[in-house]
Amino acid sequence: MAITLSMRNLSLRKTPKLSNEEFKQLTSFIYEKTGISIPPRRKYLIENKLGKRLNELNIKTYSDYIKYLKFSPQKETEFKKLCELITINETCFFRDIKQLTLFKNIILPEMLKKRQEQGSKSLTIWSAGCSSGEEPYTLGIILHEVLKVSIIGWNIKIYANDLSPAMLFKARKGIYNEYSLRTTPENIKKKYFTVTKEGYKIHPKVQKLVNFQLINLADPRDVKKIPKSDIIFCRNVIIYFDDAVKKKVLSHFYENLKDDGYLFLGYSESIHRITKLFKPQIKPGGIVYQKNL
Amino acid sequence: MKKICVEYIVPGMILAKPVQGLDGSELFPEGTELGEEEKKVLEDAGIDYIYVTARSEESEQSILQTVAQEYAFKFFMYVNPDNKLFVELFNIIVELIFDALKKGWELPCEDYIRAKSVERMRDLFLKDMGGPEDIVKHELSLASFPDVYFRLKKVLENPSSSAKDIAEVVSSDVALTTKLLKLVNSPLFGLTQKVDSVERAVSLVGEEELSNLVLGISAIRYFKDIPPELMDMQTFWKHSLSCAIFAKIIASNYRDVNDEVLFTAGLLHDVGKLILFKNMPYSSVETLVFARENMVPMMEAEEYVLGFTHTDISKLLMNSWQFPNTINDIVSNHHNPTEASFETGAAIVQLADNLANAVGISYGNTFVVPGMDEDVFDKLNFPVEKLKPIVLKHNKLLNDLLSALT
Ligand SMILES: C[S@@+](CC[C@H](N)C(=O)[O-])C[C@H]1O[C@@H](n2cnc3c(N)ncnc32)[C@H](O)[C@@H]1O
Ligand SMILES: [Fe+2]
Ligand SMILES: [Fe+2]
Repeated sequence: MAITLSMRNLSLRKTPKLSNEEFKQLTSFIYEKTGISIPPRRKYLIENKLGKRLNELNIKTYSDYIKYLKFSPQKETEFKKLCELITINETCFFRDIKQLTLFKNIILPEMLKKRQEQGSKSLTIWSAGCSSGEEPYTLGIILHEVLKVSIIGWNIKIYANDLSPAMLFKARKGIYNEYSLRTTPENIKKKYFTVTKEGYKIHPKVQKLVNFQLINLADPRDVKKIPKSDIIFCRNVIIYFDDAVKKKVLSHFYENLKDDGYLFLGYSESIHRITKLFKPQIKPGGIVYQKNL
Repeated sequence: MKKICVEYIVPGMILAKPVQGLDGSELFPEGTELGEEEKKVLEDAGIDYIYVTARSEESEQSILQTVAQEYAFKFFMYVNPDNKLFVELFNIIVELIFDALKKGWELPCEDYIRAKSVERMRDLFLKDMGGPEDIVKHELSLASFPDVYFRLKKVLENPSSSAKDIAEVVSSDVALTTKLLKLVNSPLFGLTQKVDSVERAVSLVGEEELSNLVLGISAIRYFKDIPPELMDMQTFWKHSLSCAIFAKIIASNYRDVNDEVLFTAGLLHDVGKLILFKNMPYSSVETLVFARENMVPMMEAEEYVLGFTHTDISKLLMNSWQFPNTINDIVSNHHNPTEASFETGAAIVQLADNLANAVGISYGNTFVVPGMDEDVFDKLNFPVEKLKPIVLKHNKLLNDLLSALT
C-alpha cells in the first residue's frame, strides 16, 4: 500500500481540551436552562461540537466560553447559538405513519365532531419541539385532507415551537428537500408542495394554519404563552430529558391540555414510570394519552 | 471526474458538470470552483450529488486526502482524541479511505435509512410491554438451534470419546464439514499442511477448539434461516467475521486465552441485533436513526430508544441454548468488559469490535467507532504499533473467509 508521508501522524485533537470540571459546568448550565441532560460519556462529542464555536469566537478555553455564556453582553445570543449546537433536529414529514393514521382516522374526526356539537368549531393543536416544521405542517396537511373545503368554517390553530432559532427560521421559510419528504405519499407531495429552485415549498393554505414561536419547554413562563390545546404532539423530544424534567414538562402539558384532549408522544417514548398524570390508551396504530382527571 | 455527495465537498473542488436546481434552472455552471458558500447553496437546494474534478493532479491528491480525513473524522467524534489507540486507528483508516478513493470508491451519502418500507412494519412488542425475555421466548418458539452442535457437545462430555467419534458427528453434516475445513485451511489458522478430514482437523486444532468453531458455523446457519427483513445480512456477517478475525489474531498474543473461543465469540458478538431487528423492526430503525443523528454508538442508542440492548438479548438466547459460559460471558459483556468474569476475553472482543467498525468505514459502515474504556485497553497492554500489521493481515483474509462461511 502506498503511504504518503504527509499523512502520517494525523492528530484527532481539533479543539482545546475540555476538563471534567468544565464539562460538568457546561452540562449543568445546559440542563438548568433547557432540561436537556447530557451523560458523561458524551464528553468528547460535546468537546467537538462546541470546539468549532470556540474557534469562531477566538476563545481559547472552555472556562472562558462558560464565562462568555454566563456573563458577556452577548450571552442571550450565545445561548441561542448553543441551543443550535446541542439540539438534535432529526425529523421528516409524515414521521410514524401508523400513529398519524390513528390521528387522522380516529382521534381527529372524534374531536372535530365533539367540538362541532359543542358549537365551537375551533381546534387548537400544539406541536411541541417541532424542529424545522415538518411535524406541524404534516398535521396541517392532514387537517386539510380530513376537512376538505369545510375547513373554511373552522378556526384552526397549530402552535409550533422549538428551542433552536435556526430550525424555526427554516420552518417559517417552509422549503424542504427530498430527504424531508422521503415518507410523504406522492399524491400529497403534488397537492401540497410546489417545486421551486430551492426545493419543495409548502402550500400557503397549510402554512397559514401554523404559528411558530421560540419556546423553551422547560421554562414554565414560556409554556404559558400557548393557549389551551385540544391535542398535543410532543414526539422525540422528551427522550433528551432526564426523569425530573420529563415530569415537569408533562405537568406543563397536563395544565395546557383540555380535559378531553389527547397527547401524542414519540414512538419509543413511554411515561408510565414517570408520571400518573396521563393514562395510556392503546389503539390500532399506537398509543395515545389522555388526562387522568 | 468523481461523483460525490454534496456533504463531502471540500474547498478547491471544481464542478465537472453544471448543477441544476429541482425546477430545472441552472444553479452553477461547469467549472465553478466550490467553497463553503457554494456548498451551503447546494445543500439548501437539496442536491444529492455532483460531479467534480480538480485543477491538477497534485491538487486532486490533496483534495482526496482532505476528503479522507474529514470523512474519517466524523466516526471518531465520540472517542477520546488523545487516546493512542484511537489516534492510531484514525491514521490507519484515513490511509484505507484515501486508498479506496484513489481506486474510485464513492463515499456513501447519508443513506435514507428511514426507508418507506419500514413504515408498514410492526414491532412485536410496544415499549415497556415486552422486554428481552419476551422477545427471546418468542424467538425460541420459532426455530431450534442446529442439532449437530448438541450432539457434538454430548460426545465431548463423554470422557471416553475419541477424535473419531467427534469426526463422525461433524461429518454427518456435509455443509458444516465443508465450511469447517475451509475455515481451518485458511491462512488465519497458519497450519502448514492441508487438512482434508474432520478427524485430522480435530487432531491439529484440538477437540475443544474444534467444537467452538462448529458452534460458530452452526450459529451462522441458524441465523441465516431467519433473516430480519430490514437488515443487510451480508454487511452483518462481514462485520461479525471481521471482528472474529481480529479477535483471534489479538488473542494469539495472550497465553491464557483460547484463540478459537475468541474467534467464535467475535463471530457471535452482535447476534442480539439480529433478533432485535426481526422482532422490533420499527424501533430498530429508530435506533439507527438515533445513533446516526446523535453520533453515538448503537449501544447508547438502544438504551435510549428500546430501554435495553442487543447484549441483553444475546445473553438470554445463549443461556437457553446452553452455550459455553465463557462465550456467553464474553459476548454479553463486549461493551463493558469490566463486568465480565473473563475480562481479558471481553476486552479483546471489544478491541476487535472497534477495529472491525473502524475498518468497515472504508467500505461503507456508517456508524461511529463504539469506543473503549481507557483502563480496559491499558490493562490489555496491547502495543498500538501492532494494529496496522493486524489490519493489513485481516484485510487479506476477510473476503475469502466471508465467501467460505456464508
Ligand atoms: C428530534 S426533534 C423532533 C422533531 C419532531 N417533533 C419529530 O418528531 O419529528 C427534537 C426537537 O426538540 C427540540 N427541543 C429540545 N429541547 C427543547 C426544549 N427544552 N424546548 C423546546 N424544544 C426543545 C430540539 O430543538 C429539536 O428540534
Ligand atoms: Fe455490539
Ligand atoms: Fe459489533
